[in-house]
Amino acid sequence: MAISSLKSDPRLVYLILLLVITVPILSNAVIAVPITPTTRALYDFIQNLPPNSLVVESFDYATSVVPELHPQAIVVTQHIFMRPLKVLFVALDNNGPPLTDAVLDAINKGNKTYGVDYATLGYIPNTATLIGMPSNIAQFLPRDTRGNPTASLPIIKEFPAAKDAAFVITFDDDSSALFSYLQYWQGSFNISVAVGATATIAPGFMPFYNSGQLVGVLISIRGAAEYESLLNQQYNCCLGISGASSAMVALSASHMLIIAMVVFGNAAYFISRRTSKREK
Amino acid sequence: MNPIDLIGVWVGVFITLMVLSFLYKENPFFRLTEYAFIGLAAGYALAASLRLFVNQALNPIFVDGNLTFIVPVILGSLFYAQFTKKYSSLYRLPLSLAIGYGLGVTIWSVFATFFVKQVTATMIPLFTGNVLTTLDNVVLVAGTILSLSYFILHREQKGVWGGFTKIGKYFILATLGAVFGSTVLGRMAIIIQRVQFLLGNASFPWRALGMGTATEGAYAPIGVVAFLVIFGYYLYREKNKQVNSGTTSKVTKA
Amino acid sequence: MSSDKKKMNRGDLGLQVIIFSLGFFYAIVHYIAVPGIVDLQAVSDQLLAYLTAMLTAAFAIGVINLTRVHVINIKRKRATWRYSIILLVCLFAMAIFSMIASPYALDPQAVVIPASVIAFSTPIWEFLFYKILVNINSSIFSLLAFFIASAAYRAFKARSLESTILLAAGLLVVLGQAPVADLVWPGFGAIRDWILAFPNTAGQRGILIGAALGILVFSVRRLFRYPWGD
Repeated sequence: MAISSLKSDPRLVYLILLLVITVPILSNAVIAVPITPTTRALYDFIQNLPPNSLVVESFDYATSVVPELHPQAIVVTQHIFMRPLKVLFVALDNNGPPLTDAVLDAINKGNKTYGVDYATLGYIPNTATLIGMPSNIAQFLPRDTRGNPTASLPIIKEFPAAKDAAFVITFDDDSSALFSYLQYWQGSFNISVAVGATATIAPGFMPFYNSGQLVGVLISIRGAAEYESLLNQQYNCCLGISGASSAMVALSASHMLIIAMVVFGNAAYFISRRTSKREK
Repeated sequence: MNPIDLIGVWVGVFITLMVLSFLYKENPFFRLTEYAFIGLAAGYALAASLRLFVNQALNPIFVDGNLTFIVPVILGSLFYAQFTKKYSSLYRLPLSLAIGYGLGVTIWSVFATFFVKQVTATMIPLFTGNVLTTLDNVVLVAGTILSLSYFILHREQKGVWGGFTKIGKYFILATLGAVFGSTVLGRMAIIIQRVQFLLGNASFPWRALGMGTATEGAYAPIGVVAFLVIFGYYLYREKNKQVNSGTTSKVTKA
Repeated sequence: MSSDKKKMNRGDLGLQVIIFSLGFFYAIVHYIAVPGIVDLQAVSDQLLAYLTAMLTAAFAIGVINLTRVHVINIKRKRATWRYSIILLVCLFAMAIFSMIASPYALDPQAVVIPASVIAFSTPIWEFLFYKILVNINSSIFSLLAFFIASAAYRAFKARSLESTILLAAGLLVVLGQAPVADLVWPGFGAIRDWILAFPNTAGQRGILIGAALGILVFSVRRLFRYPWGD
């Protein structure tokens, strides 16, 4: 009876999923998250960057995957701002600039000043601009998102070409941004690259991590939760700033439900197969 | 408490539930959000593209006085020739420039990044001092070669060769299984954050998503109740319509 | 090559010359420097700036198409004409407010547009983007979670050896990435990490190298397209 109900009306499955997610959220339960090697590698890399290095953060995701990548952007940006580093914010997706502004509004920027320690250069419209930036940033992105001439910013006077960057991290939802940075920035100028990826495309980046082309990979909201945990261990702060850690119990519950659904579905399949064989 | 943010939270709740109402059945609430989304996204993209055109094409001419940029602007405007009947083929000129550039860049960039570096990374010692590392390396090297062999289609996959390609197929299936498993994580992350939002949970990143603060967010469940009442009333009216007209359920047209 | 060789007309030939010239230039400028005679990198950068200007000129094509389709919908009073009105209103409202108040504002420093207009438009734009657009897009994607749960029950059956391998790999990864499973036995996480690092990497690498070869071959063939059009 249960099997035929689930088969005939998928809305029952939807309701079960909703309940399985809602109960842990209402209970506000928190769980420790084991750290994966790719997250640890990224954290250690940023933690060990020499002072005054230039970091480029690229917001390359659409608003559809904000729940997966925005938490990553929050924790990584907070970490970078806690270190003596300079940051340029760019985007290969046109939704990037307002999402950048939202992250900058939410984090603790310490005593970092716009234009001196960080700047938001906005959307990179095409690969031609991306290829040109390592030679001359101001020529290809003449104005920042506030309308200031890029060449007048102190951070650009200090680092006029993107090839001077020590590291670029891209928060990417469809692999095109990462591939662009790997091809045009790392391939030609050996700039270290890392990625914050959605869970769907993260397995496709493992060959690049294995070959050393990527210094680290954050995978979806779990990667953000792991990063929060690492920040908390080092700086005794930042647990919960992105909302990722509090989602882990609900995440575990939903995963167990999927496994149960698959097992249940296969059991039903084998039972019905055996029944039909017996009837023959 | 900011009243605009509070209204924004309730609007966000309504929008979320209007979209999720599709899970019950297709309805005008979902359709409305669908069309609104396309309009908003297209309008935003237009503004972004226009600003880039101003920065990269018009500013060099009118601000920096570099008149050589007039030529690429004229060439770029030929893209709009596709809307005319007589001159529609003119759009192929700027397109050819873009294609030529793209092909040239692709040749060196794809070769270095996706071919040379990946092949080099596969050249690792098979037998190391450690059993586990040896196993890992054998899996990596053999798996890469065998899964590549599966795509050699000009030769029939039978006999010994067929055996190799079969193992390659299994590696590809394991890859696809890993992608499926990973996809579950991604999809669940999105719905979990939506539910956090609907419940007004304090751990939702309200400020980082421009939704105000947790103070306004705590009132989100009121919006949930309000929507459920409205949607319930809609379903009640739909059911009455069907009962009165004696027809089976269909999507209500606007 | 087909046995029926079509000659390209003059126009096609001209375009092919353009494609070949630019493509060949950008393919070799990465590898060749001609010191003292011409700074190829500077020429390449200047051409890139011109190409960027050219490509950005196509900013309105999508919106023109969209507007045409939906205006025709409205004129002919098709079934969804009321929704088309909503679409167009949202489109132009968002475009106007984004041009005034978004990070893509045309005049962020209030040189032409009065500062009072920008101050009035900014909260409206923020409302449209953060409170409406982000919520709609995230919610539409969140529907996929429900469909994957339903598919897990209905479609993922171990009918053959191939589907069993796929299912086993998938379930081990799902199990390993649930934090609670890792806390019950750390081996689950280790298995997931191993699957992603080795079998998955091997398969992905095979696909990547194969795709790279295909792209290279296609690019070179397209660059050297023969006059008879093959």
